[in-house]
Amino acid sequence: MNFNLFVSLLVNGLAMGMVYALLAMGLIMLFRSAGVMNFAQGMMLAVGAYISYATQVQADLPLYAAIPLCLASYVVFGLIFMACIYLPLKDTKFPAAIVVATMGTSSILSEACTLIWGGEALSVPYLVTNGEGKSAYLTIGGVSIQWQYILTTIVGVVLIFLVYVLFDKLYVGKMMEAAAQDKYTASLIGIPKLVTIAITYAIAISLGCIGGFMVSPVTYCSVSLSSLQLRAFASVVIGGTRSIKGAVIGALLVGLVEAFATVNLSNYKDAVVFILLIVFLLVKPDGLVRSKIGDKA
Amino acid sequence: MKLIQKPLRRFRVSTLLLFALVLLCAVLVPQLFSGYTLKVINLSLLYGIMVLSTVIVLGMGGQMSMANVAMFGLGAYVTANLCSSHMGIKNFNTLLALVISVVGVGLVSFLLGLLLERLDGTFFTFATIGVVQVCAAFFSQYRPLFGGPDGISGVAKLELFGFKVEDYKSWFYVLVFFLLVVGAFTARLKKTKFGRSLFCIRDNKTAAVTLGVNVFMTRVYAFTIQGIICGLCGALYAFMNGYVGSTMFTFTKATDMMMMTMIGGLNSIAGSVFGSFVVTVLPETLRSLQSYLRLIFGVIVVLLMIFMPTGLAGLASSTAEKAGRRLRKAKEKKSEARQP
Repeated sequence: MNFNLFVSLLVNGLAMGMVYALLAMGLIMLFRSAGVMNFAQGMMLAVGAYISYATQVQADLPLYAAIPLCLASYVVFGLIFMACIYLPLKDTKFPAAIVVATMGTSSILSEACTLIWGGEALSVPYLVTNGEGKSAYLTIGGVSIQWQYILTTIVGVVLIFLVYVLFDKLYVGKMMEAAAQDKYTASLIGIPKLVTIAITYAIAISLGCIGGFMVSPVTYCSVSLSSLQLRAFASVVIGGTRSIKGAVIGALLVGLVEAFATVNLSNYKDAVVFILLIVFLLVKPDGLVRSKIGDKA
Repeated sequence: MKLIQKPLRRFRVSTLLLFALVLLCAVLVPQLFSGYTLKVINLSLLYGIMVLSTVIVLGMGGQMSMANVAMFGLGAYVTANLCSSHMGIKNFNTLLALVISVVGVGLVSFLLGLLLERLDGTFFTFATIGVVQVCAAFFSQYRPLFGGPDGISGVAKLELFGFKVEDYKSWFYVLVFFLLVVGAFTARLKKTKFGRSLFCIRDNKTAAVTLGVNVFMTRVYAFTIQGIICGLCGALYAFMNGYVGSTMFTFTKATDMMMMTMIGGLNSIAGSVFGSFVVTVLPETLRSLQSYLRLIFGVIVVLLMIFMPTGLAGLASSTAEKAGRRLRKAKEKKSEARQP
């Protein structure tokens, strides 16, 4: 393996790892605060990508107008998602019912997107393009890297940092964390449960959608993007079951392993990632980062 | 009135009714349908058997396992390898192949269970998804064992005691037989110590530990039973279809299976068969709505989960309960009126 290949695989893996990290963070946030394992999380990538297609290609808006519009619609979409899937089911006696409902939602979203935009993969413009509308490359010392990957990594790092600031530094985040840990006590000291859960949903869904926005120029925009959620699941387990930090580390690991597996084992890319998962289960069943909060009996 | 008051007797009547219904269907269905329709019905029966395995693990044990599809695939590929020219084996006894697949898959799932049951709840589910993904990747890529993207074709016909199961009609009977066996097994399991331990683990793990239930091993056994049933289904599928391809064993199929279970009702044997019937047969009968079908299906699933999380069978039993209560009340009123 020469140096050029190594660097490009590294960047590729980091960028995809960031996308998985965005999904995985959303998954863990929803799981902690609402107890919901969201099997529709992967569809958020697709929804984000389609909304980006609608604003950038169909409405032909310039980037500075498209980005705020996309972000706003992601947040609104997250709130709608919560109102439709979480609110009616929050008092259900069967935990499996919520999970199956999110599976149903995933198929609804996937079919709705296919009906609206057709089944073919659509191309979304790169954020940084050269003259012919193709992706621009950054060339340093003979190594050329796609700008899209660099931007994806940067956006990922910024979002991870923001989530960190929210939960570790801000009062709102502490309220959300408290509500996640113990709903009853939190409501006793006056933390509005519903509002914190709504905010969590809006953030978690938006994170997934932003991932879709960033990744769609590379992978094309189609409903099959939702299959990436399985990698996010894997990274959640690898990273440690409840911690956001662990999920990010796990996601980066999954992204890198996947990128380097493409060199020799491109057919078994999926298998390599999940064998890694099973090895981790054998060696470290608690995950890389242990949660400070124990399981409630 | 004693009929309703004594649950044991009501249970017997309902079991008899169910049995009569199954017999009636077994006689009528092959007469009424043929060709492609019967093939689809057969497939739904097969899925019904698989859903029963989910009833054991999820309905009784409270653990959502997606690995059923992987075990299904393993069973199918073992059988296909033994009974086709893919590995150069000739004239292998088909019944023996069936037994080997079931035992082999049982062993594999026991070992997997030892590994995966260390995890709890949702993370167990994720790990089983991992198993499905690894298996799906190997099924679709590894040529020497699984035929790669082409799959394995030309699986021999199943031969049961000198009788060759060839046409859809005889397959229907074979599948009904296996469905009844597995259904009876599941129903019996609920009444054993093992079944009650599973229920206890589902409802309160701490209590189960206090009562001396070995949580880990009970779960492992439940997982193994699921694997055995799915391996059986896989072997039957290979014989029935004559061709095994990797598209049958993906994660999407696993979610379909989960929907079948939930539509039918998590804890009901009749309901799970009904659920698999709805999910498999409806798309074939409503071909004109093809492009909207999965959308409608998703909406139905979400609405079902919101309004009747126990599925259609739960709805039926709760309606029966309500009717019984009303009858009893009417009776009480009458007797009160008689004694002033």
